Amino acid sequence: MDEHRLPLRRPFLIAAVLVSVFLALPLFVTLPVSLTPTRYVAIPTEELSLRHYREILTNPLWLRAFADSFLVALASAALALILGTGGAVGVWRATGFAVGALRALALLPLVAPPVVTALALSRAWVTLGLFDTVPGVILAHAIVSMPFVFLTVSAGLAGLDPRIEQAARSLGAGPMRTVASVLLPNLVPSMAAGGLFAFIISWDEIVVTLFVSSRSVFTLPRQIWSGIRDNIDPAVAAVSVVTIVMTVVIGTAALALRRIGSGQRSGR
Amino acid sequence: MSGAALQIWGLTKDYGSTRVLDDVTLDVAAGEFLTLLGPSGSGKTTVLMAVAGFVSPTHGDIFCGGRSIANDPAEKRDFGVVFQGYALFPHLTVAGNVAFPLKVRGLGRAERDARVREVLDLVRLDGLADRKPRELSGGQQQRVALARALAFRPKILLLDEPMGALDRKLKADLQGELRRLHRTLGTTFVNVTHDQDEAMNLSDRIAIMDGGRLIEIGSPSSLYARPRTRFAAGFLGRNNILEGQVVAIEDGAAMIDVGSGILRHALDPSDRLAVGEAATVALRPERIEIRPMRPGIDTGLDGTIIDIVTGGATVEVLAAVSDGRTLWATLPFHGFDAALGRGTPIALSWTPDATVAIGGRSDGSP
Ligand SMILES: Nc1ncnc2c1ncn2[C@@H]1O[C@H](COP(=O)(O)OP(=O)(O)OP(=O)(O)O)[C@@H](O)[C@H]1O
Ligand SMILES: [Mg+2]
Repeated sequence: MDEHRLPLRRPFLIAAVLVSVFLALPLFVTLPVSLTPTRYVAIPTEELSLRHYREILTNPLWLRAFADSFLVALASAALALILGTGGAVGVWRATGFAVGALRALALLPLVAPPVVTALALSRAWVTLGLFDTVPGVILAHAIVSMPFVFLTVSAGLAGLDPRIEQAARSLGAGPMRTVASVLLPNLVPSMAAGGLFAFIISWDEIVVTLFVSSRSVFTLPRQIWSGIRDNIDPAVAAVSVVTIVMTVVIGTAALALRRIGSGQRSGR
Repeated sequence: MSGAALQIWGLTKDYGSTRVLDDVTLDVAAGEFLTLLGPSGSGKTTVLMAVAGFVSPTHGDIFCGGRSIANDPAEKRDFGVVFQGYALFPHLTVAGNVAFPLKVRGLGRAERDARVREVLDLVRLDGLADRKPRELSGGQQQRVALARALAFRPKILLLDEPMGALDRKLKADLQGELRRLHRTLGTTFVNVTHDQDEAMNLSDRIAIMDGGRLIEIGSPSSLYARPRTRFAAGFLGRNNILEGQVVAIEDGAAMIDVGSGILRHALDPSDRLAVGEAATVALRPERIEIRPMRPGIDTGLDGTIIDIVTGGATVEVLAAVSDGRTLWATLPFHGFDAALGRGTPIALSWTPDATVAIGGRSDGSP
């Protein structure tokens, strides 16, 4: 079955490796820099040091940035999870004209250029008194990451027979119970994947963050951003390595979960 | 009212400007096995889903035990439903699926387990209790769906194309199974299918639907032997339809001129035939014999063989009569005259009670 794909396998493999190397290139610079014993940015030549990692774990500025980012990422992912799952289930149930319209609406934050979204949110947050507040940043991040939850959960729903809801109702379960004990258990892997995606999107979100905060919320990317403007410090490289590792680990987990979420029912 | 488990009254459903159900009225007796039979898109599923509570009628009402249930939510109706495609819960095991309605009803663990075992036993699925639905064959999934729908002992079981996705052999097995379940449980079954053999084999009564309307309802044998509508005559088994004009009525028989000859049709008390008016009769292929008419006993037409199809126990002969119309005759394979072939002139004959007068207009066409 796989045989007719063989001739194309090699070129694709080479291309894939090249792209991966290209994408990983920053890591080849950041990782050595983060291990330099010097106070300035340099590729270490003689010895390696963990001083910049110690620095980001003790410097209150970096610690605060980690804390802010973690709080914002966790809260916005939770919010995106609720909104995105609700939206996906709603669209899954809808029929006819409504499907396309609702889908387009849910994916709007993904299609709109980030700067446009950022500008719109910035103006709106000023009016609503959410500008430069933690809830404001959380809400903004949730809006940006919601489409990813929506898409992942929609993929999970696509593998479900819509009639299982009717089946649950016919067996005596009310609407709430049907959602809680039939729909959600089948969506756990997709929802987990969507939540993790939302988390890492928030974790390194910069554009919207810059537009909706100024003094009181300092997420990690914002701290890096101001760090490289003031003076370039190898601690930035250490933070980057931590972020890259987190993104790779969480992203891989999310991809694995998404596979489970949309593939587990293929036998039906 | 008494005796009717379910009454459907004037059921009409519009989607926008399309009418998919048109004034369907139907009683289902307690303990009866009723099948809704009709071609694809005739509205069978819509009727069943209206009864189950998933389609709200535009007009009409549905009664259960003499009480209107049209406004009850689906979960309050207590009907077992076997859905097209089964709609098993993929995250639960077989036992979990069957236990679901019992859990919802708050049954204790011990009673639940006992009931699950009992129902799985009933559908002969014991031993598979811990499998997930995706690890089951189509036939096994169908049994789980049945077990789940029967676990809470509903008064009525609704089945939407329960054999739709199964192969021929399995269908036959499961038809026997369904009949056995119906016999043992005494539950009222309302089944939906477009498979006329399934409907004939299983049902106490068949309701034939077409274009959103109930065309005719009756026992399989009465519908087969004496259809009143042209649609039922053509849909349930093969029939030859002959159209003509009544030229005389004498000795309890109508003489009908069908163009290629004059037929003698034995009158039934329900026949409404009058001299000079149009008449349509249906004639089962197995009632036709290929032999010269016996004077005073038979009626018939002369024709020419245009095709012979051997079907195992029977042989199907397609013959053209003088005005070019064709008739099918079904003859037993044993004793079939091998000298007959394409182009052979033959006499098609039958007794006058073989034809059934059918109303031309009941199916909507003149
Ligand atoms: N939600 C809906 N919106 C619009 N039209 C519908 C809807 N549901 C069903 N219909 C239409 O109603 C008609 C009857 O549908 P129904 O599903 O009851 O047919 P059926 O007899 O069960 O057919 P099948 O044998 O193919 O299952 C069809 O023409 C169908 O297109
Ligand atoms: Mg149907």
